[in-house]
Amino acid sequence: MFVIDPLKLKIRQLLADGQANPLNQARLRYGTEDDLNILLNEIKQFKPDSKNYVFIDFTPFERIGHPDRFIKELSSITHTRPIILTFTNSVFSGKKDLPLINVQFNDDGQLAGIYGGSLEDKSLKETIKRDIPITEGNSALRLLREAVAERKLTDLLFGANCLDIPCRADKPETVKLISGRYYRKMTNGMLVSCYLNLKEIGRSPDTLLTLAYELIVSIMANFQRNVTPLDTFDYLVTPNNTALFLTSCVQAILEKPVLCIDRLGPIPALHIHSPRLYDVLHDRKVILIEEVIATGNEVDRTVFFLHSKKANISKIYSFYNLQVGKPMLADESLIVSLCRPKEELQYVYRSA
Amino acid sequence: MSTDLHRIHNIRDISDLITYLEIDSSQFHNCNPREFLTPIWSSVKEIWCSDNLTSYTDHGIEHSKRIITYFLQLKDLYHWSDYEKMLFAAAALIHDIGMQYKYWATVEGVSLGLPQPSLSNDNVRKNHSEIGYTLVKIQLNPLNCLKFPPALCDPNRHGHVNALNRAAHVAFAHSGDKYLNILREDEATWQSRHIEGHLYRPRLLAGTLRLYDELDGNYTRIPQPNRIYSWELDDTAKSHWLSCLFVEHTELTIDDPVVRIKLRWQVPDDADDNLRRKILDLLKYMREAKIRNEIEVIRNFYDCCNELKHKKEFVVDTIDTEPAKFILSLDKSLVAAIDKAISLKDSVIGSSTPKGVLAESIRKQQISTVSASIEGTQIRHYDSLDEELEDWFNINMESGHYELINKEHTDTYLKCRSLVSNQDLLRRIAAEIYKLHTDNNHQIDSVLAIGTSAIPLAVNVAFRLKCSVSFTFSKEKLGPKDSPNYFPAEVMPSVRECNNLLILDDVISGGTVVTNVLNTIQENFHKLPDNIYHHAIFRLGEREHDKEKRIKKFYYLKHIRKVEYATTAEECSSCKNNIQLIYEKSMY
Repeated sequence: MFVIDPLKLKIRQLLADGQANPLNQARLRYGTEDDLNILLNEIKQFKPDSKNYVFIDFTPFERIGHPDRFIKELSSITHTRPIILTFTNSVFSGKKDLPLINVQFNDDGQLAGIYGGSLEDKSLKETIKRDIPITEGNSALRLLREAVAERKLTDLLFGANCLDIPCRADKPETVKLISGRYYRKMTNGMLVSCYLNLKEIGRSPDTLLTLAYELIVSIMANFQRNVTPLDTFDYLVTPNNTALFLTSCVQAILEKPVLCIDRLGPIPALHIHSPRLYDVLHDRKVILIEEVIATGNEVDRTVFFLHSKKANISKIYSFYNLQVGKPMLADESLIVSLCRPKEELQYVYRSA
Repeated sequence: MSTDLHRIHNIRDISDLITYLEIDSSQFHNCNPREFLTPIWSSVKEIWCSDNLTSYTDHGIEHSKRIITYFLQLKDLYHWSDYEKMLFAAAALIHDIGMQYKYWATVEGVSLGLPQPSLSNDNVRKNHSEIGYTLVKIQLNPLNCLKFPPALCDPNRHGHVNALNRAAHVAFAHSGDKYLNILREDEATWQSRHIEGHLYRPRLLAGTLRLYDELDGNYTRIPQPNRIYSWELDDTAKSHWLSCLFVEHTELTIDDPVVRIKLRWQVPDDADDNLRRKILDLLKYMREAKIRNEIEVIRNFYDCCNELKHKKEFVVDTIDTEPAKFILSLDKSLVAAIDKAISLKDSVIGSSTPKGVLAESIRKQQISTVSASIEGTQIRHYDSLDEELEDWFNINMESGHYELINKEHTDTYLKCRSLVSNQDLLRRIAAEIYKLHTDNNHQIDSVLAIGTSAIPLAVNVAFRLKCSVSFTFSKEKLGPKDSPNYFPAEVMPSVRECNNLLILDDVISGGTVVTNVLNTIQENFHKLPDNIYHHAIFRLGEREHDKEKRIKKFYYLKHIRKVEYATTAEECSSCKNNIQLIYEKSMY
């Protein structure tokens, strides 16, 4: 599935320009002609094969540039077959004989209709069947974006060199061979089939932005207009430097403050922490962001600490969830994992 | 609405405007009003053909026309000459063209030497006078090759050039203080006199435009009222919108030398008593107060210029009439939005208040304070990053007797973790760092953050510089005190691949931490980048910090001198005085 996010392109530009409040700046109802030019350049770089379409997630915008120009330019890019995702109040609504394929969602994210194109087109039918979840009563937009996040973050693991896969060439003290497969030795004595080294994400700011953007889409409930998600939390909390590293990009975009609560150790040494954190966190709503959840223990320590400071945890986000175990102290309904690559990675976590 | 305002609405083109101004038969040296105003009208119409009504109230030609109407209502008070009428009309037409900067600066992508068009909407609003003035100056240059916007006048016709230059100074003095100061200080150029027998009072014109720009704050500036509920309007924009929306029109009653100003207000059809009270409060604190503020500014301006004879008594009458009704779909967020707008009143009123013209005490009163992000920090407006960092240091430092992670003792602990959460300050620091390195043509490939507190800053800088970013991390515990690695730091392999590395630090004192980092890079990768720059936010103390020869250049943004360090307990004065030691680990 290929997805282009015009909003992300705009945010990227605003971050490069050092603009304040990039999300609110970018998230106008009407994108400018400049935004359209950038979008068209991005689309022109895509060369999917004949079976694939390119989704353009237009949803935060009602229009980008002049609609007639938008339609004309997009229609002329013949090698790329765009499917435009919009809410029902977009400039395309009600237009007949649209030369583009337009998937519309209502304010609750439910599918409102698919217009344009020809459903005799086999590859279009297959794409819709595979990628657009048409389910009664559920937010199709949410499901679609979850699938996009899953796909993008999985691709990112491989593309951004984040996977540390043990092999024979590694130092013998760091690996163990069991039944023909090498495992990395972790500091807690356990063995893993691969290690997610998300520090590598920083090799490219675009990759960092991709990761952060998917998290923001989830936090912002896919930019559905009938919700105000920024009111649901006061702080972003990260438990370690890698999570802080990834969340710094989120902070730069959302401009919601991030607190790094690290050095908690296997058991939080609560008495050594300044009472000031209690003042900061007491009765505040926080979103906890983990870079990877594996056993669940990573979450428990921080949840324990936050509870001790009487903070209210609105949500726990993890970029990756390796599904080895579940946190014991956090309600599972609070946890949102953007990517579950266990099967893709054939991930194994075991004792020595 | 008055007959005059009805009449101004019927003005469709420049001929109608000339007739309305009654300057059809006037002629000045090398300057004909119709020939002068026609290109201005045409150009301004093109500039406003695509206006941004998502972020701003309407600043287009209708707004200009209404200001001209108010101006003409004072004709019996000031007896405007034909030359003044022509200049004022030109000034009214061009005074807000800077608001359209994002439109006209991108139409052909012409570089004007101005900040890039992707200035934030708020910055465009704050700087629109400067931007508009710069455009006019560029256009007045005979070598100007801008294709858009169309020329405001023929640069080879000196009569028109003079008139446009004068009109520009009148126009752009309507906001901020820069052009108001020019009018005040350049005595010879801007004093009242006669030109070719026509009365010419540029300072009076500027004061008048300034006031009537403010008086034209009414519902006609909000073409789409329901958009006050839209989520992309930030709080400042919303407060501007709301303070216009509930004004039906502004009434002037002239009884020389007194001019009485009264706002006629309106409320939504279904407004209950609570909402009506809120709207009245809003108008009192936002509109009336702002008008009184402007009157005060202009009065002081005339005092400074010794233009006492222009001073009339402008009085703002409190609203005491029944409001008109208008259709607005009510939403429960409206009351909250009004409360928020009232709470922002100081920043909104202060945003157009000049610093130079007003007495210092008045200016200080109008510096707004916005309370807190985390930890109850008071944030105020600063004149420079240096001042802001000084303030931040004073708020976030703790005096005492501390042992740092590298075992050194100090009398000052700086809670750099607070910086992690302050995106606003991080962005400004990143901008400063970005500017320094790009001005010096350092082609940075990679940014490396030392320590937790520098990580968010490094991410911001990396986005500006469009390069990779990483941070130091520890795999092993601290070594013993006498080991070369007090602070063993690992770095990512991406550092190895770069030629120009920028190391970011929150604090430097003696420079030992960065030495350790460089040792690590050299040990792990057997080579160092060709050029290494080290940039810290704070330099603390007076120790030599730049001994490290592998670093091409050290930079820091703020030097705080009065911080003491001791590498051993024997050197430490606090240890000698038996002051209890606090360990860094417990300090956050």
